[in-house]
Amino acid sequence: MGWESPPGISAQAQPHRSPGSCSPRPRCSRCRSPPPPPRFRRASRGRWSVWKLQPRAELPKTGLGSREQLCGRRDNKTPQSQPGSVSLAVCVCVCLARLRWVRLPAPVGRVLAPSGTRSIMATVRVSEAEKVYILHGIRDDLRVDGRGCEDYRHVEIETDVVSNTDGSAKVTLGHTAVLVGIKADIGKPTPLIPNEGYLEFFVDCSANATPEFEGRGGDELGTELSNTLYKVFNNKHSVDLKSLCISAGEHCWVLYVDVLLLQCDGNLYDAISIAIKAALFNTKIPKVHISADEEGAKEIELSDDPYDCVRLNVENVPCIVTLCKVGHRHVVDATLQEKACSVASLIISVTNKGTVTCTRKVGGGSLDPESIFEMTQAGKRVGKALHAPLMKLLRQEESLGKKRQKVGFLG
Amino acid sequence: MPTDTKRVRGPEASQSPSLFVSKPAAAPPSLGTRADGRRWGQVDVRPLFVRCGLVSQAKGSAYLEAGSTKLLCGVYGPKETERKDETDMKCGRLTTDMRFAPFSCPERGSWIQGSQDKDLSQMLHESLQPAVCLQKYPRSQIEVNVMVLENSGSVLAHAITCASLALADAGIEMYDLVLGCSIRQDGDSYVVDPSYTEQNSCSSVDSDNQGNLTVAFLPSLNQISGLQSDGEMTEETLTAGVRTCIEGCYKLYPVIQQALAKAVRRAAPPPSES
Amino acid sequence: MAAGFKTAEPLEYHRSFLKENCRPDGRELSEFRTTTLNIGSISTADGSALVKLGNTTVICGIKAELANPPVEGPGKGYIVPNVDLPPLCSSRFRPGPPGEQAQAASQFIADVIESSEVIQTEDLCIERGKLCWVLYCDLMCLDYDGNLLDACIVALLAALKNTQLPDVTISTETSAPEVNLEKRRGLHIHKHPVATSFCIFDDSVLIVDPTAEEESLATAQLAVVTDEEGRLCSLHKPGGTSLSGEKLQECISRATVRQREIQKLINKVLHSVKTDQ
Repeated sequence: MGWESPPGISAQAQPHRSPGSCSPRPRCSRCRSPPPPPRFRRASRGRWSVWKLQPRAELPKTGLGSREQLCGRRDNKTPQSQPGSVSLAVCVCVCLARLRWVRLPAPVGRVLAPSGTRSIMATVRVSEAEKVYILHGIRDDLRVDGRGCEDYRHVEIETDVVSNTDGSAKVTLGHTAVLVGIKADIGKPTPLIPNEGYLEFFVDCSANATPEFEGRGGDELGTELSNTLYKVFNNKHSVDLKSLCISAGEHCWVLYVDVLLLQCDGNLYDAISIAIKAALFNTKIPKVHISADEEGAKEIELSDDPYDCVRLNVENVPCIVTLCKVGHRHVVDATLQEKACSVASLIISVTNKGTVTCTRKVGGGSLDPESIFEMTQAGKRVGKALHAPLMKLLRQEESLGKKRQKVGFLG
Repeated sequence: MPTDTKRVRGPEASQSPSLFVSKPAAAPPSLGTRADGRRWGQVDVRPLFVRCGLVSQAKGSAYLEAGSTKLLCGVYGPKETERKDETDMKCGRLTTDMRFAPFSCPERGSWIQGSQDKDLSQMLHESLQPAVCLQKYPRSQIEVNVMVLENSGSVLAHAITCASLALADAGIEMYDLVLGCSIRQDGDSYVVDPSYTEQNSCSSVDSDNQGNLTVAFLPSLNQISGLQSDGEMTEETLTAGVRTCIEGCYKLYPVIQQALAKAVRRAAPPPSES
Repeated sequence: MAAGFKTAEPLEYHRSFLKENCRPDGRELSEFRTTTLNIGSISTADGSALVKLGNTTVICGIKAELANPPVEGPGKGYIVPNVDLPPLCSSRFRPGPPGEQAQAASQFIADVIESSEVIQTEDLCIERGKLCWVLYCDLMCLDYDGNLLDACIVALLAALKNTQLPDVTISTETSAPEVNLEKRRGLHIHKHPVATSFCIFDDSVLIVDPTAEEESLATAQLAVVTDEEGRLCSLHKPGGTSLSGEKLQECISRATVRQREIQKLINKVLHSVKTDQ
């Protein structure tokens, strides 16, 4: 196994590690430092960055000087200045490579998934040797793809990707790809809370993501995800639901949040929450005017002007951080391989102020109270750091306006 | 909505009379004492009544009553697994099904299992699984069915306790009992084992700390097997809440142990009596 | 030894008991299991009752809601009985939509309500053509050990007697209903139907109140519903071996005795509930 990479480049960027072979493990000698803020970037046409897995200056030098250069080059580039010069051939190549990744045959070996778990997550099988390798790496704060324990993979965001929604975003996190579309509809408020609108979540697990989702296979995961999303948004501050009210007790805006899983490579929760935040930021709700005729009958008029719309304040929308307990440590943004080594994970949704809106233990194992406290602390730290760069990027993309280069799905 | 042809159908739409109540409900109780006489900010769980072996047809069963929350749990199995497509046959499968009787909540529920029930079933599954020695039951499945007869708050927490007791009554090998406890955080104070109204009440104070927290705990292994919270809490409050829940679980432990010992004694009386 | 015989030859095992005019659990052929009744235990329901018939346990909760009266009967209300056999009560039931037995039981209860006139749906009307009560009678089996129908009818009757509906007035200004939850009144129960189930063994032996095992071995089943005046409300015999008119008369007279016993029991329990308060 190994990462697919554009020919010629990443063989250097990534020391080849294969399970079983006793390649000298690069030791990480650095001490713990606060995690660097996760790097987001706008999806742009020349997406070399996907292949360079979160380069880290701290990585020990293994005589591959080119890595430093690559890092430098990439970091200096702004997304706009990147030339859109990748030929179509490369794009196709990219797609094929990805498909290959998903279908990579599982190494024959003992099944290490926690006993008796429902097949709720797209899972991979990991052999005993691979497991030991991953566990030892995490113990030393160096993961298979070169990240530290609290680092995210590369995140790419593109908003406004589906034109017939009111707001949409596509997020890729490593190889996990999620598309979120938001439709605003006029509905009746719930009788118990007449002066607020509400959100509806639906998660669709496309069979494209993994063959397990074929038929009704993804339903269970879909309900689990959407139920968690309800809990994440079940508080007063995440979204100002009062602003969605049109006339109390009669009409309100209902935001239908549809999540489509395009590809699963671990850490669905985090990717979905980032995508929802981006899509909510992007959501434009048309302004309405209520006019009453002489008989008192109310009429709702929608504004025709596409620019005459209400935007939501997404400052307080939480992001989910999933922490996977692997060995004695926990990792953020686990890949499927790492997930297969872990007994339990903790999902924490954190707002920009650092308050926790939802926590949940998932997976078939149990956790020590102390490690839960540690994980909540780490989750808060990581989650809080997520918001500022994300908002910055969203604003930056917004400010581009029509100049923005659309990437779409094949880019 | 598709019509339900398998049940006796009523009118297309009907409303609960509580929506038309002319007088507003009584003012929410002030801080200090709660409606049932317990105190805020103290680990004060409702008195618990538990009994094993009430369902004659089940392998093991337990009935739990806390305040007016009433739950019945039946465990069937281990029997041959139904899903043959599971590749992993070395371990048994635990299935959980939790549902509410239509009359269990103040608002009438539907017969059809909603997504909330499914979510609770899933939480129950995740909380119980770490405690069950599934590797002892290869190729078989164990079914846990929980029925909520009356919902008066903290249903998930009590369902976890009740289900683990029923599993133990069925003679399923387990590492430890699982106990559940929940709290409702409201501002700086909290209530342990909240009732239905406390759970859904919203104090007018626009505070940051407001939410529900449920913890499933393995008391003798000191492990948390289930954790779920919603609402909005700071990390410090959450940590304190988890500690409070653990304390609450320890208060339940002797009651559950006694009930289990009683059930075992009844099933196999000590030799001196016979 | 006996246990082995029971598992290997259940039918022969039962026959050897029936030959001596008794049953494996020590009952006589026309003897019911102990019936216990608990009324008003569910506070979230408007009326509730729990019935235990030996091991068989059925709980009934009644929830009242407001709706528009049916078009075909503007002066009427609704009673919606449903029986559920959740997987909790026995391993023979699967989760999911109600199975055949649950559907048949629901329909049977609905028929009994209609034919016996236990409640007149006219009583449930609040304002003609505008507003009426819907009584959702949800029956749930918690432990299935045979004779579901008898237990269901007793639970339903007791729960109906326990039901207290809140007071509803229609405001003259807004013509919207106003509900006063404090002021409640009971339902008017016109008739007290009680069911008695029989099983026919080997085309000839009649036994009353069968257990789950007896039900599965029997060649035919029969349920007789009578009210306090000894009138036959409903008779349910789904297939099976035939039955002579004589035997049927026997069944009906046994059922009238049973009806009196149950009515006495319900009144006793209701009385004790009232004196407690």
